[in-house]
Amino acid sequence: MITGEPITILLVEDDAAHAEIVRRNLQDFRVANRICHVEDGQAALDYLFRQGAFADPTDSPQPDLILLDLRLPKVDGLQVLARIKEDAGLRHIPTVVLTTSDAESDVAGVYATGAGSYLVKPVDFEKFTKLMEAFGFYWLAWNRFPQ
Amino acid sequence: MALLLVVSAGIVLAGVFWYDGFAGHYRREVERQLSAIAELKVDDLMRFRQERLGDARLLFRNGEFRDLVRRFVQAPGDLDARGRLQAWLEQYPDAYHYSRASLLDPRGVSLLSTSSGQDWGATSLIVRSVPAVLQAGQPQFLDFFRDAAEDPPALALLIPIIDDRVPPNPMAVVALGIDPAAVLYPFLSRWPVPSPTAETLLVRRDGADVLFLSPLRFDPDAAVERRASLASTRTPAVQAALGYEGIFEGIDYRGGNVLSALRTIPDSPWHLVARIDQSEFQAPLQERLVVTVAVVVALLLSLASMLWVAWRRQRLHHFRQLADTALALQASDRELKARNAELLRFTYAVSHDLRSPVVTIKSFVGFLERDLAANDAERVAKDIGFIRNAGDKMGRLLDELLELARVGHSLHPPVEMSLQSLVADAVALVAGRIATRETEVVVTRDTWLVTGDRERLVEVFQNLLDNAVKFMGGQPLPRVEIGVESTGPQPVIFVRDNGVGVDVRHQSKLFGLFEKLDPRVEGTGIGLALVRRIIELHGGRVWLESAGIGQGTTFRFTLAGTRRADA
Repeated sequence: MITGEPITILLVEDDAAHAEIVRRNLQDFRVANRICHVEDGQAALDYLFRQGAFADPTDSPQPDLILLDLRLPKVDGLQVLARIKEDAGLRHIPTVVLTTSDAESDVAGVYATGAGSYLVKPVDFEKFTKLMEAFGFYWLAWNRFPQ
Repeated sequence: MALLLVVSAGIVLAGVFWYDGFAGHYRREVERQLSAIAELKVDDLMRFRQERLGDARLLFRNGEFRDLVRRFVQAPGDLDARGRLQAWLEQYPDAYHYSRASLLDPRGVSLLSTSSGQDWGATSLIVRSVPAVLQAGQPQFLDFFRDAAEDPPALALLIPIIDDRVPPNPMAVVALGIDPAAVLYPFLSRWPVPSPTAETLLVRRDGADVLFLSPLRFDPDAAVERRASLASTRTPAVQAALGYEGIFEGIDYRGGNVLSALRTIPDSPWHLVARIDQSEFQAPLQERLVVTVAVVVALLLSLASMLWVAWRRQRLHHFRQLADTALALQASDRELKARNAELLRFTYAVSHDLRSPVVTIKSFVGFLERDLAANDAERVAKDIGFIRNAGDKMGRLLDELLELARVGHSLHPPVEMSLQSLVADAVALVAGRIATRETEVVVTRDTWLVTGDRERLVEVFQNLLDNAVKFMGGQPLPRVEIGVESTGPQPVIFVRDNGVGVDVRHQSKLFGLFEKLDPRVEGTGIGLALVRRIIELHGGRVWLESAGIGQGTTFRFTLAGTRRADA
């Protein structure tokens, strides 16, 4: 909208069905976006640090926004978040936690580690859609990312 | 403590009573002995006096002897009478043990005398007593006397010889001398049992004094010489002279404590003292006292040592119990912590993993409604596929959650079994998958015994084998090795494969409930959680080692009670 460049979102989600839900909700949104989906924490780190299969920057550009599940295979979401916030080159990327768990310890841990937002996946379809809509508006339409 | 005091007091009291009883009994015994001896001597002394007086009376009444005296007095030249009188007198020393017999005229001049014995001089008490005896007209006992300090003690009988024709005419006196050293003292000093201090004393009151009549054991020259004032009332001899009869405890002539039996000899001025030194008769008492004290002390010591041993044993028992309790507490604390962690994992799993398929189902039902409305058949099929998968996943999760919950509550009583038999059962359960992958399973030949719930332990090996086979990757010669390492303090069972291996960085997640390293691999991620649960319930722990991707994996775990069969 401002730059004409699509906004790149890194979606870290082990559940294929949940990834599909997020993808479908953001697909028809007015703001152009590109979703890169990885299925576990290790893959997310590999992507962000351009390792292994994600070495090529054209295929795996640095995301403008990270949508992170917490319960992940291999390296869990909280550890991924910590690695991002430790790294000077990645620290500025807004990270939104999107998880099924609303356990108190998760919420506290996530904010302590430096996440910008903590969203719980609603069980109800309408609510999930509304949440994704609001998320889209906020992050994709209104939010200004660092250049 | 109170019991200890009571028992100690009992022992001491028993000792006191025992000794006291013995002392009382012993003292009564000594008193009885003294009394018996005194009694015996009194009888003997009475008989002695009666016999001597009997001798005197016999002569006093003898008419033939009187006639001979008359004849001799009227005609001193009558040799026949003189000879017969002399013969008569000679009988007394010979037959009756008198020291001397004399015929004295009324002035005390000796007319005839036996050849034996010393002549009594003109100043002798015998001579001086003649007028009084003639006046009294009866035989007289002349009690112990010494005519001079250097003379030996003596006794005498004086018998008046009186012409019985009217008027009576005192003609002469017969004096019979008695030497107490010959006839009295030996018998007085005799004591029926050997004793270093016991003796019998004969005393007589003499004015304000008591006069000792017999030689003393510790003063041989005391007879008719030694005196004691009647004022010194603690002296047994004084008490005897004052007429006291019975047992008397006092201080004797040597200044020592004595026990004595006192008697008065009837119809005489004599008093008898049978005495023994306290120190002598108390010697056995002291011995007994020492024995008693020793026995009491020994009993108290053995009581104390018994109590000490009991106390030690009790304390030891107490400490052992404390230690047992502490160990049990530690174990239950570990168990509680494990259960707490388990519960947290469970809550987390439920809030996350069970919720996840619900989110999926509801969302895709929403999409499905839209896609049906839009008549998009391709998307409808996709939506239904997601819904079905989520439903299936939920079903599996619930089944496995229930299984995990069951493990925690239904352990069978532990039994001991061989490792080989467990592995054989597990291999049989995953035989299909093993055969498909042509996996070689090798089990150690050493016989190891493990203890626990057989069914659950089979489940452990089943899951580990299943896991190994599942992650063989492209390994051309799949192989699983099962054995025991006994190099450490506790035997460690291992299940080693040559499959894809794991990144050890992800180790900690592996045993978590519903945790999977690869979301595309079949299963819900409960297998290793179950393995860990079962092993922890058996008091063991489980971990894994891997050199990395492609390097194979080794699961290691311990089980309490694992041992070599021949050990």
